[in-house]
Amino acid sequence: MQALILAILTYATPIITKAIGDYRAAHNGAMPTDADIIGTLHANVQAGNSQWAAWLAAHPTP
Amino acid sequence: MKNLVLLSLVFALSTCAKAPPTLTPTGARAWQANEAVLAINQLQEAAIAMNEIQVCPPAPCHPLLSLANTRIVGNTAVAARNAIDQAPASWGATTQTALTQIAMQLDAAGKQVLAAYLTAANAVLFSLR
Repeated sequence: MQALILAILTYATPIITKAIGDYRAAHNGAMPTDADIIGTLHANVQAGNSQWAAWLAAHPTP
Repeated sequence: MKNLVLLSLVFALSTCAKAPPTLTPTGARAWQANEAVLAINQLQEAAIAMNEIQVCPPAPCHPLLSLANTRIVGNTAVAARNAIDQAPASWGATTQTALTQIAMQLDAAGKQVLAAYLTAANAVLFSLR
């Protein structure tokens, strides 16, 4: 139970609130548009896939 | 301690994420999809980081998270991200399926190491609905 609470507080909440905060900070307090969010989605998909591709390259299957 | 647990639960449940009000329904779904992808990315990063941590004893030194378990997380994450990218509206079902698959495929040691991170990812998913 303690682990669950700790995981929620330390992991989930910052992720949820960070995206909007980062965008607003980068855009002088403006709120994102549909195009902004869709672009961000694609970028985060690519970032995750790139990170995994790099890990696979560094850890080839024997 | 009991009060701390209750306070933590109230705090966690009160932080249900909402899309910015400037977005259309399509944009709101993309926002949820992006949050789900971020959670998947965080889980992948955690798995990669724990695979890099060497534990010894017991000898021989070995990764905290095995290569096999790390591959389970990463390969499932790629499939989930690509599916969400193709169909953002599927973010909920796709992410839930991915997290369930990961939990089922990990061995006992992997389940133990990643338990808190899987719980947190599920918590993020729950908060987005």
